[in-house]
Amino acid sequence: MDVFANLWLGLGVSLMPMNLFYCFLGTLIGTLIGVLPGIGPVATVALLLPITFYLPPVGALIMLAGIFYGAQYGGSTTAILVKLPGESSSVMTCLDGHAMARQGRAGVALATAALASLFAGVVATLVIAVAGPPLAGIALAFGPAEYVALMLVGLIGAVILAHGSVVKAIAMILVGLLLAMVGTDVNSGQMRFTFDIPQLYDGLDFVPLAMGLFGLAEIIINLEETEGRGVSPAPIARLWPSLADFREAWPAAVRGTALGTILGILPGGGATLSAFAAYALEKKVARDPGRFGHGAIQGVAGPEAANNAGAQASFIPMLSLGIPSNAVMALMIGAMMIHGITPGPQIMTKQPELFWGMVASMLVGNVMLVVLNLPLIGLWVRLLRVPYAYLFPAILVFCCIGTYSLKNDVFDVITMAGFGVFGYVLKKLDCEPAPLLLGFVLGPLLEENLSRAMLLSQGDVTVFATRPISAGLLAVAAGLLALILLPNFRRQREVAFKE
Amino acid sequence: MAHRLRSPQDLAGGLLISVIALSGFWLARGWEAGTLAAMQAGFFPRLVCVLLLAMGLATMVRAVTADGPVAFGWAWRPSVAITVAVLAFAVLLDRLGLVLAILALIGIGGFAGRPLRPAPFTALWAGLATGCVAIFSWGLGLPLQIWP
Repeated sequence: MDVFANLWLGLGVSLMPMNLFYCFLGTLIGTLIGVLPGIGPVATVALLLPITFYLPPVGALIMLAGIFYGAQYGGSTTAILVKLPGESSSVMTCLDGHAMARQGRAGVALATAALASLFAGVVATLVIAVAGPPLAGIALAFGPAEYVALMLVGLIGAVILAHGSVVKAIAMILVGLLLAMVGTDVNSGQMRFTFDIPQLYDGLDFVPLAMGLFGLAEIIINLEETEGRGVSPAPIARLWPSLADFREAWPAAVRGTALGTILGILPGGGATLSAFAAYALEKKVARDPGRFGHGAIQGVAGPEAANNAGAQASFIPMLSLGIPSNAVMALMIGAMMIHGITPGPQIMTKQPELFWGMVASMLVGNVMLVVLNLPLIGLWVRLLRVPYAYLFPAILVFCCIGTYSLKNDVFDVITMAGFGVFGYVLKKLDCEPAPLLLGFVLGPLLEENLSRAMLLSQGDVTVFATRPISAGLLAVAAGLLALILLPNFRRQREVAFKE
Repeated sequence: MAHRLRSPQDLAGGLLISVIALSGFWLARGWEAGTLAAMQAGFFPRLVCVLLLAMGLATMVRAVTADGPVAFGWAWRPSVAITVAVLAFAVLLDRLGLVLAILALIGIGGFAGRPLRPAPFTALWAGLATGCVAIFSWGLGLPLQIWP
């Protein structure tokens, strides 16, 4: 088999002691920095990019890829332990992961996240190896109309995953879309919602928004509910997942992997969208959706597998077409350019050892990530036993510095304080921040593609129905909407939430 | 029956959503909307605000048609203390440096819960300040002002 010969070549490259060392170093540094709240994969890769200038090209890319996985997993760790999503794709992990941690199942949640990520990473890597180049074609078949339809599916999916009122969940998505408009309009240069504040000209950043809505608001709510004493998680029953946990988690991980691999190929919020979609799917297929949000292990396994598969799959368009599908991939392309490599279709034929070395190093990197992190779980879990009177000031400090470090501007810290209050108001009004964040992440893409699709079709809205992929996606969106609005389903849904 | 307020929470939520929608609409008043075929900067904000207003109104309707929690309190102490603490950090960081900004942050933030006694508080301050300087300033090389 050609593929196996290629993978063999790649494994040969990535298992060379030096490359193995770079991979290990990258994963280690990535995990350690990714654990710091506010510093997600993009910031970590950007901060550490200069280190790799001194390495040989293959080593540099392997190390960067390692940093990327490490940071991604590090982000999930803080999401589970202290409910701070380091980046948009770990927002969903916050919900059930943190609920599990409060029930004394932090170790189980962390192990599930690690193992689901490993499974997703390995499968997605094999998919890249077998079908990478043809799959890249999917990204090309997606025009503006298809993107609009896809985002609608994603946004409507976000309504399912919310508890409580459907109307409020839609409202939250719309508020997110509105917040995403802050800044300079790409097409016209018009300043929108900037209030003449120069720091807003580039738009709001995800980190202060997420840190405020989740991190700060969570601290306020915790202190309120316990009258200042602070939460102490239930005693730890067991550190490792039991056989029953495995049985519940693995189908979720498989579904998440499939979703993530497909959605990750598409430019834009691939990993994020797939994590949200996986959560919505798990909640949909679960026999008792009421457990979601209260520590359902599927709510950790599904999104974690999906975001890792999505992150992995985003290498496909980057390597084979030279299209960066997100900010991290843009940085990777930057790094490749510095080493004199031009990503694109010819990379596989001209530099097979580089291409396959990198693909194989993803396998090695994922295994290394688990080997590195499983022993650390005990340490992380112990962190939760720190009394809340000490823990919450520490979280505050890390939130503030992490947010500040984005641009070295205290404006972001002030923004975070504002969103902390807003997050608390939303909680009081029984509105949920997760759909808001999805709207915020997808907003710019939705607007851009909507205007592009309308421009191309000269204002003809039927374009969404006449293009097959877009029509199919819209049918899915309509089906989801019907499911939500059907009275029967809705009654079941409300019963499920009352439990 | 239909005209009795049954969920103050939904009324407040609906009002907030409507206010956001209307102020968004008002702020966007000067931006050109363009046509469907050639959208301008004002098109999408108006579209979103109209939909948002509809959701706000629907939520207010729910306030008189569906039952909700009767009253909802507001925890002044944690919400004010946390917000003031973070703002104090933001104001002090560039002026007095990281070490004192952390002191203000955890000092004021402590009032959100039950403040620590002086000895553990000092230990926490020293630990956090050292840790942050080591990680962010030395480790990651961020240009942070550490002392006044």
